[in-house]
Amino acid sequence: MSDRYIAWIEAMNKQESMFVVVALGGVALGAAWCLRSFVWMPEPVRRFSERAYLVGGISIWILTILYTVRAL
Amino acid sequence: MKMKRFVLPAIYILAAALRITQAGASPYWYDEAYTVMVSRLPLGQLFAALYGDVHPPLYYVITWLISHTMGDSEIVMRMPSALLSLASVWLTGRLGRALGWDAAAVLAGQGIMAISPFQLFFAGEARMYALLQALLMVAALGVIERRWWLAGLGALGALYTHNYALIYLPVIGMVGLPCALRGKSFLRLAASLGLPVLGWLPWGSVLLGQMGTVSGGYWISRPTAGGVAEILYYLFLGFSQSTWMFTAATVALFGAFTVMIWRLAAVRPSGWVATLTIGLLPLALAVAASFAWKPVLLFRGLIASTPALSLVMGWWLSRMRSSHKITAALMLLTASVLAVVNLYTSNPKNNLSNTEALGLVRAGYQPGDVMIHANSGSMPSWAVYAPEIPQYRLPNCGEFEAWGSLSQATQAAIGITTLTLDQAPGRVWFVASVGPMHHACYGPAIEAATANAGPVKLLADDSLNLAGVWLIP
Repeated sequence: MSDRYIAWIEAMNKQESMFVVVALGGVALGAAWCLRSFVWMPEPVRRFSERAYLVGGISIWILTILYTVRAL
Repeated sequence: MKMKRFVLPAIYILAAALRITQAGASPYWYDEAYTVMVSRLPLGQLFAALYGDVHPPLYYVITWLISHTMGDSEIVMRMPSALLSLASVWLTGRLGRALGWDAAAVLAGQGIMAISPFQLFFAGEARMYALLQALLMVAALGVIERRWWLAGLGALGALYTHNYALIYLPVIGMVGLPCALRGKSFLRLAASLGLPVLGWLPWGSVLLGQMGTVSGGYWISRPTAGGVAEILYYLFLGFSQSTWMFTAATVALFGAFTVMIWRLAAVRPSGWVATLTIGLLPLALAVAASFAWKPVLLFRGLIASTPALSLVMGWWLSRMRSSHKITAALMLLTASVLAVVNLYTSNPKNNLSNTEALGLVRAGYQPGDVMIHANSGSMPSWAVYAPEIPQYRLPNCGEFEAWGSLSQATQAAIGITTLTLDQAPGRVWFVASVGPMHHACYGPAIEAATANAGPVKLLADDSLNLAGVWLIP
């Protein structure tokens, strides 16, 4: 095994771990959206929560991009 | 219906424009250069090269015919993939309707296929993946519509195109089974998929010998949670995403994926089980085979899952309320479009590095000079563009060259021969390209070879890769 191979395996492990965490974050956000149907709330509150979730989702999405650009 | 009259042609025009305009945009990369090298051989030698390789011959026979009649420029050699990928957009519509999806879902699925970064990559590559996808879609369509000759033709073609057909055909058979049992046509289903397997057996015996050479590489994913998640990401958003977009795109995609599966399970639209089976079971089988046998998880081989997954995603998107559609469009469409833009701008740049280096070699080339490659890895990309320069490779410095490298038999068939630096008749243009998969001896070997050489161009020098050109007087 070459040093390059060891470095590649280490990079792969790190990349895969990070990918799983990020993907699970997405799954959690999606699951939270789905689970709203199990929670009773008055219709105006439901509509507000929906809009808040969508606006929040887009905001998190844009902030993630901005944070990554800054980190790079 | 009225909207469909305008939207569908627009989808085809966009799909065609995206596929055809990029066909000649960049020089060949390694895999494509190998296709061109093999296609330039006499037909008998082509088969000798393929016996030692890992792919069946159908695609190479097609490119051999093209190469010997129309030349082997990038645009010509990539055109079959572009056209087959375009045909897959149409086949997605046929398949979607045959599976029972409503018109809006089918239209959205075709739209996703038209701009899918994953699809566009393979539409612009002189390799067999667009052909594999089209043939598997034909086989699936034949089974679902009970046009058995069509199923058989698609299955036989797919088996002679890529070994991943062996994973897809049982899945397609499984999808057609309930309908075949109801229509008392089980034997026809079995014959339509079984006879092609019999017809493929002569090549199957070659495959058994080749299996020893499938030993992992950059292209084989690990059957881990991360590896599987990455493949799911690739199938939707390709692998050309900018680093700054990747995290956000991943969150958006997996969030969407979760909600989509949830909605599917709740609504259970017609054809959802069959479509998800085609979309996800091949991946599950490849993972299972990687655990039970040897690493075979090849994301490119799973290209035929994209149409099915696009139909499911299309159904979900087409049923959304307007406000949700805007959110989904902002997140997923932006991620998709940016990946396409990155694919079209960075791919030519990446592939150009060899061409630039070759320009430097040509500028300084003197009669009597030879080019010696450290191993076979860099040779196809250089040999295809500079057949006039005598090119050799150094003998292996270890007991093997690299995991996944060309076999000795294939190297001999395509004309890769060895020459040591001492045997060179004059000056040597030394080309090295070494990555993690190469034997550990290559690092010291290149260091020794280039100790008294002048660097011409360093293409890569980091912890993973070393690539460059040196002039040894």
